[in-house]
This record gives sequence, structure tokens and C-alpha cells, in this order.
Amino acid sequence: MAINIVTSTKSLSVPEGGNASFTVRLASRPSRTTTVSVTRASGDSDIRVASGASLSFTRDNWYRTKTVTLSAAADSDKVAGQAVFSLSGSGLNRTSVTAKEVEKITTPAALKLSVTTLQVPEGGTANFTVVLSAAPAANVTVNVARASGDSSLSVAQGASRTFTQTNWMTPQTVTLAAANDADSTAGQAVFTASASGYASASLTASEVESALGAIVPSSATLDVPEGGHATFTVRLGQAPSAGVTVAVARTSGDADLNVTAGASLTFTTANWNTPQTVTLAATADADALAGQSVFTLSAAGFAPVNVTAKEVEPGATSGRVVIDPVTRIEGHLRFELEVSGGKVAKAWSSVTLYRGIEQILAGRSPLDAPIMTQRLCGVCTYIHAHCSARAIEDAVNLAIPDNARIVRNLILGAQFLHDHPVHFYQLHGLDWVDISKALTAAPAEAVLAARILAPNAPAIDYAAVQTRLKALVDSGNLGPFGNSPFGHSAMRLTPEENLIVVAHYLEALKLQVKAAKMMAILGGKNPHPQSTVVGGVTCGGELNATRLNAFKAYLDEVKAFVADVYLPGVRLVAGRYPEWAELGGFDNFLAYGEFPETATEPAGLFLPRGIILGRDLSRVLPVDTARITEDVTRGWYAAGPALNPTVGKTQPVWSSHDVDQHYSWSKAPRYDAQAMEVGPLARVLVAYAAGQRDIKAEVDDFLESTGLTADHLFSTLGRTAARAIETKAIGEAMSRWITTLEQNLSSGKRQIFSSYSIPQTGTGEALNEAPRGALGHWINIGSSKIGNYQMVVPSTWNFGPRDASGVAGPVEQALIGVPVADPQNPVEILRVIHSFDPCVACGVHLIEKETGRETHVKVI
Amino acid sequence: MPPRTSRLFDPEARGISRRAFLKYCGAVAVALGMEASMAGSIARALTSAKPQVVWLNFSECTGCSESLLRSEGPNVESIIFDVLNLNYHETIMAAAGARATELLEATAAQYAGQFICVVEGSIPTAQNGVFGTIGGKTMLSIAQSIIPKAKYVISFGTCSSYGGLAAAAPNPTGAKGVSAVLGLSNIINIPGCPPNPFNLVSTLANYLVAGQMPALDSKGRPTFAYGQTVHAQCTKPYGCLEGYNCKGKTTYGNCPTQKFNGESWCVQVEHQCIGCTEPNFWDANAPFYNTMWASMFATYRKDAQAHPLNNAAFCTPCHGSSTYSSRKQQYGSTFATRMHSEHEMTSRLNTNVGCANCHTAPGGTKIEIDD
Repeated sequence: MAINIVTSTKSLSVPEGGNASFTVRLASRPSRTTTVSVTRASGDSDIRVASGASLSFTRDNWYRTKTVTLSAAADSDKVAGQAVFSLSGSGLNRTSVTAKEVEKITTPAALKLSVTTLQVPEGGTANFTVVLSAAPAANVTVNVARASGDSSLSVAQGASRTFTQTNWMTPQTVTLAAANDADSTAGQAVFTASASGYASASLTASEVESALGAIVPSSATLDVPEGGHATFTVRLGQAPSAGVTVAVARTSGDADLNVTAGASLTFTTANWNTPQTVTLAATADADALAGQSVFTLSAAGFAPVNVTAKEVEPGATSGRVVIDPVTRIEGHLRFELEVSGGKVAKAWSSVTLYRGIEQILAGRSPLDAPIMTQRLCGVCTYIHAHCSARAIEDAVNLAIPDNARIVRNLILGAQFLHDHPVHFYQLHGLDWVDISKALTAAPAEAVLAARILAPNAPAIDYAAVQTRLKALVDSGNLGPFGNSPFGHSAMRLTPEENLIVVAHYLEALKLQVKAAKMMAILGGKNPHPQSTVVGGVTCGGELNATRLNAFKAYLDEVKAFVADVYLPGVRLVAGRYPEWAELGGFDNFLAYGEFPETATEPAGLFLPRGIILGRDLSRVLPVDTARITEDVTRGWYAAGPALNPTVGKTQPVWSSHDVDQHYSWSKAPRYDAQAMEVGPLARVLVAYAAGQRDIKAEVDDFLESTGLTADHLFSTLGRTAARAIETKAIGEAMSRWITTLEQNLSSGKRQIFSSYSIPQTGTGEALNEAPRGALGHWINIGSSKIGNYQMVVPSTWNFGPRDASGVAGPVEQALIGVPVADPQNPVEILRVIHSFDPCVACGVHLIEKETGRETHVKVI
Repeated sequence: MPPRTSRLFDPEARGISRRAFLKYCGAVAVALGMEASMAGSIARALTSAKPQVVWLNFSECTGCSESLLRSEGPNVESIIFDVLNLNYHETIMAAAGARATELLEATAAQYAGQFICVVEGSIPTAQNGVFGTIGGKTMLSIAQSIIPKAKYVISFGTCSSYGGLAAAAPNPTGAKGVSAVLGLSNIINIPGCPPNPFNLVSTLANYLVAGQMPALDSKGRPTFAYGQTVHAQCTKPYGCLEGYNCKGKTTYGNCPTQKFNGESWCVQVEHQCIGCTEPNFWDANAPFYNTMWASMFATYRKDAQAHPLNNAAFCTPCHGSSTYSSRKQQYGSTFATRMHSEHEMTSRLNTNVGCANCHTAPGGTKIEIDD
């Protein structure tokens, strides 16, 4: 029976002048080695098979996918060609793949207006937005002016708008006004936006005649502090023929809100254009709810207009916010914050789970430590097994073979390539994205926007994604998106951008499955791979061409996602949320460095080891682990001095949760008594300052494309960007490492394990980098058993509590000064917390300063 | 009650061919001991009924959630959107703080007796549970208030099934599995460190198709997945590892047939099974590396040679470098027989224990000793 040929797709797009690939395998085992031939059967001869025209499948590898790459010649035509490629072979059912040439989109630098026509009510205004299609080389000023037509139409605001390299993607508003004129004909005018170096854009504005004119409030919404008052003004849009009385009254909502002045406003033919003031007051009430009311402005002969007033609780600007559980993290974590004047004044970080692994390890065989400590974390999986094995190898003074070192680097690299994209989309993404807005996006516009934002990303059917989202919403059960703070004011992506990132969120979920396969190939499974043991690695039999090629195929796919989707996504966030390049930063950084490319550490580390103090990028200090201590003053541990991990103690003593006394299961690690941030930003800053070439190039590229400077890296955004930057650099390095491994193997160098015996006594130390930051294991061997085992993990560095001197932990300090617009939805706090990628679980509630009551805060 | 039916899952729109999906469902059917023709029913069940689910994370490492994320067949994106109404899962949910807790409590109240509760991690019980709190409540009290309201409880992973690592001696936090704390009869244990997501999806498929729990063994595990020992199903890709303290003979699970991540499993990377699906394995099976492990491994793996392959190297780790030549001379033509005898191989030959000291594969026929 003929065998089917399985292709990864039936159709694909090939960019003009570029390549696109699909994969091929057989559906079942052939009776002998079988060749699949790929030929163009019909269509545009510009599209050719670049590689993989002939694919050989054996009885052993028939299920492994092989890649066919098509190329499209750069041609002068503007026609998108199409060709059908036939896949055939002896004993195989013929199949075909349709390739479509995609014309290269050369977007000329142009100004883009949100509309091409605009109606402006007579005596009123209307808005449109203008944005650049491409990043400017320097600041660009856009001028908007009437080019022709009715002079009663004019630019009221925004005649001149400046775009920077940072905000060029953010549309800016221009307001047109239509004067009250005597005529009753609706005039028209053409307005043109122009800027040097950009193609101009125009729109036609039409004056809409008003029969009655309008009641014009200064604002449609108003915040009224509880126990206080707030004002807005009212005028008429055009001169009335006689006096008009406008009544202002509450028509619905919270009775705590009332008009205290300006309930009746009289406008004459003379003063119709002079604003008159309305005062609203909010009664101090006992409830903790922020009330809301609608006030209606009405007058005979005029359409009524509504103003929505919102009562703002005093706690909104001062008070305690407690978050418990903090979600979209690993583990159990709680945050308590004191908010003053709308900004965080103090923060307390509490780790709320203790498992006692260090106690469990004592007295066991040292060889069991890697496999047990690995279970410290299933998210940063592998790294503890790796670090533990290295600590014991240090105690035994054992050098492992090169191949073992490379295999371990590849397994750990796979961990980074899995973990960081998942963090950006699944854990951090909803801090920047409002899914509800994606529902209102125009899918066709999203396609266009995606071409600019992520030109190399694979095409996505945005309409299908939107339909799927709508179906989820229509089902009435939002699943994991339940209780999202839809419509939060801090969310600034356009509907189309929201849709794009949601689509990428789904793509990332699919991609991470493949990233995990890399680890499984060399580690046996993910999470918790099992091939790293004290002495080397066990997976010698899997170090063959078939398995390594499979590894490389997954690696290439993940690398493409990082470069074409993940990094552009981070740039989008950077462009839309530029203020986060100045918020949530910290000063001191510690990186142990990672990925030894030679047997010598730290000299051979791909990501260098070092310390940066006080944001000083001109100096990278060496790391001396003797200066590390762990303070337990504010944790739930037996009191004692701050100790170096080589002599550390882990003796839990529970008392009550009290931020003024003891409030965390985390110890407080310090370096020379200083709190240190660890993680991607620490690694990238140390590498950048040390001049590590791969990282420096990626950082400079990122800064240039976003218009940011190196100073902006000390921020929430810098942390999030550093994560993406190092993912790309590590992915590139992995391709090099695997080539070295292949060369070693083919030259007969196959050793993966070194013999040893466990001594009666010994001490060992290992320094590594988990995706979340610097990780150290310290082992003390006595009677050939584990005597003392101490681990200082990234999240204790970042999320640890205050110490004996009152010095707060890095996240506790980074949160200070962060604004909180709506304490009921402290999105801003979560942005900072998530940017550190915590590996512990927590939650948020609010304690009001005045009443001491604790209320639960709604957090996305 | 929101509509229970959803046709969101259209595999082809996701780039998963209908055939591939049906094939997966066929594998589920076979695993569950159903006729292969049930694949269609399973496919329908996985794509239409959406049970209400809450997922509780207690004393854990989140590795079980990560394992679910790696699901293929229906991948996690489909599971989240199309297969389940996953109303509470701290690792992925948008809501945080009280807004999150509210979803947990609302689901438990509104769907009492109907929802499925998946538990990850053990429950710290010492000192009334102070070692683990969420939202100011102990995990113990959350378990006691939420879990008994569920129609079925799935303990996903060894920690929630039997206590796992936190419960290893001396168990500082009094960690226990869900059964041990609550003693309910509707608990399905899907142990493993991590557990295989295929076994969770198959258990859900069984529930959605048949409306009931799968058949369980004496340790509360579905027999479709945990009915045979690892050893009985093992293809021994690089030889049997029993001599390396492999626990495949006393460990029940389908690792050799389902593998992990569609790629591999522990024995395929030549690491012995540590017995992670069995209660108390962290204590009962430790130490995981027997005394000779380090030297045995070096000699067993020809590719892993620590030293140039010469015969003396086999004896050196245990006896010193001069032993080989002296014994070789002393025993002459009876060398191999005497070696077997001195190392008690005669009684062990059937189990391969110890062969790996001298042979390229444990029990393998290729002899590297030049006798």
C-alpha cells in the first residue's frame, strides 16, 4: 500500500527575495529507503526549491521531519506569483504544497491619519490622530494645516505635534473646530499633515450644521474625592436666539454625589460662550466602595448631555495595599504596600511557603542531592540539579569532560529559551494587554500593523483569533481570564496591537511545547530532566546525528520566534509604555555568570560574572562569595547573626505575620551588606558593562530601535527587555555549542563522564544562573553524607525581606515611587513585581490607613 | 449556568489536522481499554463538554503545571480554551489577589458537587498548616473547605498523591497527600515527578465519555496508566539498567510507552528509573545511586570512558590497578569463569546485576575482556 507524505502545511507564503520552509515526513514506515522528490508542478517560476528537493527517508528515520526551503526571486513585477510544488516518490501517494509569493512591502515613510473624512459639528470640535509609519532618525515635527476650503474650519489643537524615536508609534491627537457661522450651508475643508522626510496625508473635514447648537461640558467625566468636591464648566456651542437655562441634576447612581453649586445656569445671547461652573460634592460615607453617578445637563430645545462623576475613596491616594495571592508567578507570595499621594511609599515582600528541603537533604547521600534539589522548582527546572552536581564536583575536585559541559549548557540553554518567552507572554503579558480591547480590533488593520511591528513573524489569521476570543466571551465563562480589569486606564495598546499580542500569546503557548522538547531530547523529560549526574551526563546513546538534528530543528524554530515575535513584542511595549523605562528600577546587580565555554571559570563564561553598584556601568567588580551573608532577622527563623552560606542555618520558627516584625519565609541575602538585584537585567548589565560582544550588540540594537538610552535599562522595561535580549544571544550561542559537540563526537571524542569517589569530608560551592538569577549551592560533606546543605536562590535575593539594619530587599525598594492610579486595580505594582519574574506565590489586599480595615483589592 | 457546549475546538483551524487529533484520541481510547472506534466519541467529548475546573497549588514546585503545559494532542492552549472551564489556576490566571480568590470560591459554591478539583502539591499540616498560606489562609484550611465540594478530585503529581518531596524524612512541615488529609473516596491519583500530561487528559476524556472515574489500583491510580511495571514495558534502549539501581521492576507507570514531551524518558537517556510514581519513593528508594554507581557507569558506557579502554580499568575502581594482570595470570583459561564466580555472577546473571562492570552493555553478549 502506498504511503502518505505528511507535510507541515499545505500552503505557505514566500517573501519576495526571501525564503520559507516547510517540513516533510512519511506517515508510516517504508519497506526500504524511500526518496521524496519536491518539484514545481505548475505556476510562477520565480518560486524555486532552494534546498530539500530530494529527501531520503530510511526505515529508521521515516517519522523524523525533514525541511524543504523555497525561495522567491526578487522580481520587478508587482504581481504576487503562486506555484504548486509536487511531492512524490516511489511507493508514495503524491501530494502537493502551494507556495505564494508575497510582495515585499516597502513602506515609504509616511504620515498616517486615523480617518480620511471627519465631521465637525458647527460650534464644536472633532478629533483625529496622526502617527508615523516608520521610526524617525531624529525628532520630527508634524504640522497640520488647512490646505483649502471653508475657513470656518480650523485646527483648534495639535497644529504642531512632535514625534520622537520613542513615541513615533503612538498616535497623537489633533482637534479640528468648526466656528459658528451665519450661513446654513455645511462647509468643507481639506487639512494636510506634513513633516520633513515623510509623505504627507490629508483628510476632508465637513462642517455639520447644528439646528439647536449644543450644551458643551468641559469634561464628560469627573473624579470627586470623598468628603470633598470637584468642578466642571458648561457653555453653549452656539449663540442662542434667546436666553437659555441649563439644569444640572443627578439622574442615576450613588446618592452620595450631589450638585452643590451651579444646578441652574442661565446663558444669554451675549454670554453663551462663557463657561459657567458646576460644583459636585461627595459625602464622606462609611462604605469602602467608590460610588458613581450620572449628572444630566438639559435645556429646552437642546439634546441632553451627561457627565459621569466618580467618587474617589481617600484610600486611593494613601493607605495600605496588600496583594495575596500574587498570581502569574511560580510559588506563593504576598505583597503589602503603603501608598501615599498616589505612589508607593513602602513595600513588604512575603514568601508564604516553606518546604524544608534543606532539612530533608541533611544525612542523605551526596549523590542524591541533584535529583532532590531539582524539585525545588519545576519552572526553573534543571538548574538546581545542575548546580547541585557542580557543588559536589567542586567538593570532589572533579573536572567533567567537555562534552558533558556542552550537553549541560544545551540543556540549560533550552531552559532559558523555554522560560523567558513563557514569562513575557503568559506571566507578564496581561500586565500590558487588555484582551477586551482586542475584541474591537479590525483584523485587516491588525495584519497591516503586524507587518510594521513584526515584519518577519509568520502570518496569523487575526480574524480567526478574534472569533475565538469572542466565542470565549460569548460562552459567559472566561476561564483563566475571569475577573480581568478590562478597560483599565493604564492599558495603552491599540485594539489591533492588543489582538496581535493575544495572538502571539497563543502562538507562544504552542511554541513552548517545542522548546521543552529540546530539553527532553538530552535530558529525558521536561520538566525535571534526569541525565545530569555528579561526574557528567548519562545521555551518551542519544548523542547521535538523528537526535541532535531534531534538537537543532527545534532550536531553529524557537530562535525564529524569539527574533521575529518575542523581541518585536517587547519593542511594542517599550514604545507604548515609555514611562516604564524610568520606573521600578534598582541600583545594585549581582551576576554569577553562566554557560562555561571552557573548563576555566569565570574566565570562560559566555555570560560574565560580576557586580555593578550604584548604576555605575563604568565598573564591573569581581564576585567574592565570602562577602555573601543571609540575614534572618525579619524571616520566620531562629534568631541569629547573618551567616555566610557555607555555615548557614535553616531553623524555621513560625510567629505571626507582622510586617513590623517577621513577615517572610525568605531569608535576606546581602553582598557586603547591600541588597542586590539578580536575574536577566543583572546578567545583561554586567555583560554590557564588561563589553561582552553578543550582549552588547543586542542591547545597542534594542536601544537604537526604541530610542532609549543605557540609563533607561535600570527600570521595569529594562528588566523585561534584558530577558528578551539574552534569550536571543543564548539561542545563537547554542547553535555554536552544538556544532562543537558534533565536531567532538565525529572526531571520536565521546567521553561524557568522569569517575570519582565521594570523600569522607569535603566542602563544595557552585555558582550558576537560573533564568531568574544568581543561584548558589553550598554543600558540606561529613562521613560521606550531606552534612549541611544551603541554597541561596534568585528569588530570595530579589524578594527577600528587610535585614537587621532595616535595608529593604531589591523589589521592596524598586516599588517605591511607583504610581498607583487605582488601588482597586494596582496594575502598576504587578508590572514591577512580574518584571522580576518571581518564583514564589502571593496575593493583594488593601488596608485603609484611616480605619485599619483590610479590604480585598481587585487585581488583574 | 453558562452554556456548557462550545464548538471552539476546531483542530484544523489550529493547524492540527483532524486526522492527527483523531489519532491522538485513538491512543487515548487504547490507553483506556476502549475500542479504537471510540476515538470519535473521545474527540467529541474533548471538544464539546467543558467541565468546570479549579486547580489548587499547594506545597509544590509547579512542575506538574509545567508538565500540563507540555501536553500535545490537545495542546495546553486547547485545554485551557476548549476542553475545560479552568476558572482558577494561579500560575496562568489573569486575576490576582482577592479577585482571584473570588473565582475559586464562586466556582466551588456555584458548581458544588459538579466541578473537578485538580490538586498540585502536598498539604503542610504541621502547626495547623502555618508553613503554607494563600490569601492569609492556610493551604490546609483551603483544602478542607474547597476539595470536599468537588465531584472528583485529581491529585496530579506525586506530592498531592502521596506527599512527595516535602513529605520525605524528616518531613519538617508535616506534608501529606490529599487522600491522607481528607480521606475521600472520589480521589484519582496521577503520580509522577512530574506526572505525564497524557494521563491527565486521558482521565478527563474517560470522565467526559463515560461520566465516571477510571478503574483504580490499590494506590488510587488509574490502571490504564499504572497497571504494569515500568520494567515490563521497557524496551531497554541501551540495555537493562537494573544493575544501576533501576526501580523499573517495582514501579508502576507508562513512561516507556507514552514517554515525555513526545521525545524521551529517563531510561532513554540512560538514567535508571527512580520510582517516582510510588508512594514514599524519596525515602524508600534512596540512595538512588548504589555504591558502585560512579565507577560502574564509567565502565559501562564505552562512550563514557573516563580512562582509555583497557582491561585493567575494569578492575581498578574496586581493586587497584595491579589486580587485573595478576588475576589474569593466576587464573589463565578459567579467568572468565572465575571472575563470574568471584563477583557472584552465577546467581545474578538472570538479572544482569553486575555484568556492566565488565561488559559494554549489562548482560550483553559482547565481551570486552580478552579471554
